[in-house]
Amino acid sequence: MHNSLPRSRVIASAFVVALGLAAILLGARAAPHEAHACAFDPLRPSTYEADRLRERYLFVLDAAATDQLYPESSYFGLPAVEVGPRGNRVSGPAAVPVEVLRSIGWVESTLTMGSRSTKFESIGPALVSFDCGHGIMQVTSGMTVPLGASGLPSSNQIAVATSDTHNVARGARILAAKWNDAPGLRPVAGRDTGGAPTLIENWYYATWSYNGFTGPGSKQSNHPLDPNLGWPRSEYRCNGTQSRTRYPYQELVYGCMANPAERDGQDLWPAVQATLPDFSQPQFFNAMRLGSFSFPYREMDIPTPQPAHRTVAPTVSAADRAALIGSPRLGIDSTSVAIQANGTPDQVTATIRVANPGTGVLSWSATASDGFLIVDPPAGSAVGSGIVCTAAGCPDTEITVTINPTLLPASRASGTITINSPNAPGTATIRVQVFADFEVAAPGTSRSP
Amino acid sequence: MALQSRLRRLLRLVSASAALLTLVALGAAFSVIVRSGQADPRPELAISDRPTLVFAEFGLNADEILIAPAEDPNDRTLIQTVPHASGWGLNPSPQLVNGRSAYTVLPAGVTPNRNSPAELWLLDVDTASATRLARDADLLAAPVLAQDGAVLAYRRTEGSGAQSLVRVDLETRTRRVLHTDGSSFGLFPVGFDDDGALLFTRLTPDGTDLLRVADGSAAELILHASDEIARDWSVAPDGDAVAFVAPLLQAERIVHQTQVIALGDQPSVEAPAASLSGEQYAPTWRRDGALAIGREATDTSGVGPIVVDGANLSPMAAPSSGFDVPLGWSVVGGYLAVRHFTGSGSQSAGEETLLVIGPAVSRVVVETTSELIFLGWIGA
Repeated sequence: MHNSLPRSRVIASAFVVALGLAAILLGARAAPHEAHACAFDPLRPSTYEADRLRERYLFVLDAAATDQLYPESSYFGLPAVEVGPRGNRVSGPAAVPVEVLRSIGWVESTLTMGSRSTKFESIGPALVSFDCGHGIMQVTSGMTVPLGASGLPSSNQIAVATSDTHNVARGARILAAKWNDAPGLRPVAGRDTGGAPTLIENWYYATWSYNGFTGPGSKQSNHPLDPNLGWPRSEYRCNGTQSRTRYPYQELVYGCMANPAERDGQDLWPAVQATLPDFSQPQFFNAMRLGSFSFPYREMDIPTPQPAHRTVAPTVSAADRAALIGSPRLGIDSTSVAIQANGTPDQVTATIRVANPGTGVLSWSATASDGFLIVDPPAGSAVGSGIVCTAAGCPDTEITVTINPTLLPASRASGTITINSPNAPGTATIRVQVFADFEVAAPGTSRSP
Repeated sequence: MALQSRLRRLLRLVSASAALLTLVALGAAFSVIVRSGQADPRPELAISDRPTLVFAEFGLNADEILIAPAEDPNDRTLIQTVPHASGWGLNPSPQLVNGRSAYTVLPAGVTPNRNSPAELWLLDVDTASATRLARDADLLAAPVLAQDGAVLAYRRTEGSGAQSLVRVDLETRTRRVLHTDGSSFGLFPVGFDDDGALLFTRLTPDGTDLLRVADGSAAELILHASDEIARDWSVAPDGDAVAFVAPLLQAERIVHQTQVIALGDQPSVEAPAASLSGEQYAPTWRRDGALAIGREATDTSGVGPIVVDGANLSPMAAPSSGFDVPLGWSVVGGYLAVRHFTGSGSQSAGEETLLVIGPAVSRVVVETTSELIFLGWIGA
């Protein structure tokens, strides 16, 4: 009854229409990303956002600072932090000061995994900045392009984007790596205290480097004597009443250490009045001289600013650690779905629910077998028992499957969506059947050859 | 054939729809421009001829630009709201010129980071309107206006990492790169000299150089100003001198002291407040050529700015504690806006407030719960 030639033309015309609309819609959505390509572009993963008082995240920071999250991982575990004077550095414990780590987290993201639109104790779009910073620690390194097979995000990238524990652990590792860049690539702070990493003040250069060890006059300068930064400067109060424009990054972090953020009249962390270098003293001023800012920055070594403060290593028990990481499991509500391209609104998309029948926060990613299948979000979280998730949609995540008609090989096609998890065993495969029969039954339409 | 005709109609429909969508998008963009003040100069404000302070009150996501009479700086009028990336307030030119200020700002929606491209805006206080001039500015480098307010200069960083100083003709909105440098630490626009050439500094491993560049000419070195990082540069009202502070070792500590360069065929450097020991801040020119210089507090009392007028050094009204960093004189010099710090000096600056020092030894704090950003003065 249906002649193949007219049908193909009709389908082709429908594709033209759909292509135009898709181009407009995708173009609008992708516009902010034009300057960059991040691991998940043009889509955005979803993630779990914990409580408003940041109790979970502060707990995660405690565990990450003492390498109790993923100590066995070369990507998420802390390296041994080097200790000793320049020329005699040896490996020390794998730990970073939690005071510095949590303050960096606040400066980077106000300790949030999700975007502004994501409510606390819910699942929603992840926080991804336009320069590809992801999550609480705004991890950029390794997140700018997909690094997995077939041009897809790698499991590490999925974990950084969707799992708070992995994100913070990765941020802690990056901070430790910045510390270990001294003395080969960066100056040493604490030349008179054996470069002790237990002294918060000795993390001055590592903190600076977390945002870029940039020199005076550069566009992204964090040099404390840069003429573009106001002088003198009041302490950064970390309460949203001062512009960041006048502060080098490390002073933002120090300011937040000294002035904890408040919620409900309660400090989120204990205040630590870490001491900044005193640039009226020659031993600090000379380190910041223009002639000193030259690789490998030997002339920038400084003594420990005094009075110095020793980090208080948090205690995280094995049970606490187990509760944070949990034992997630991957659960899927269906093994096949269907899409009717010219159907009702309910029929033109399919929904797959990802659940976590285990505990903790499950990270997952969804990969389509064919280009005509679009999965959104491409990765996300699902929470299990023991995790508070009160908003609508919790505790599972919905994946929406749509089609890109311009890539559809025929009016009837099928493909699969594979769901994996970087922190749970197993794989789920969902078969997707697509029907794109565009009926043309308007009066006057020719169906003859 | 009928099907082909229908297809053609369908394609025409798609084309028409696309055109319609384009028009809608253009309309939306135009409405944004109008809202932002670019194409909708508002009626002139009823601004008195009396000295009037112009400043911005920082907000987490938007700054408010306000005006207030010098006698009562807390009697404010809102003239403009400037949305920005969360946490990053506007960075204005050092002074208002003929009721105009320029500022860089990170627009809302970009990555809230210092290296994101900033927008450059021109604010006309009289009409309470703002015009976007560029979208490639460096946030941290404040733009500078010429003495007549007809041109400005700003800094941008090229894709190569080199920095360019760009001249903008405010009448025609045309932009021209005056100078590009990819080998120094950075370039800093300072202001314009009496010939209309841009004055700027350059940081190199050897220190701070002062240079000038006229439109269409190569940059020329005026002099090597310091072996260190010199800062707080300001150009005299007639453009024939610049003042700045540079560090030196004094009694086993580093302090910054004021220096003045008289521009001309034989530039010379003077230290007009060398008799005053200790840290000095932000020399600021009065219209008659006098300089207000901030000084650090003593152990026992607060210290106000000193006014250097030729050989005369006159202290201004001092606070009971803390110290002041000058920002700008009112147009005829009756009032001086300062940043007042409650601490003793650079290493323990304490809390900061914006404050107006008046002619009757008065010191009036501009009340606020957040940071205030000085833009300048209007009115006599």
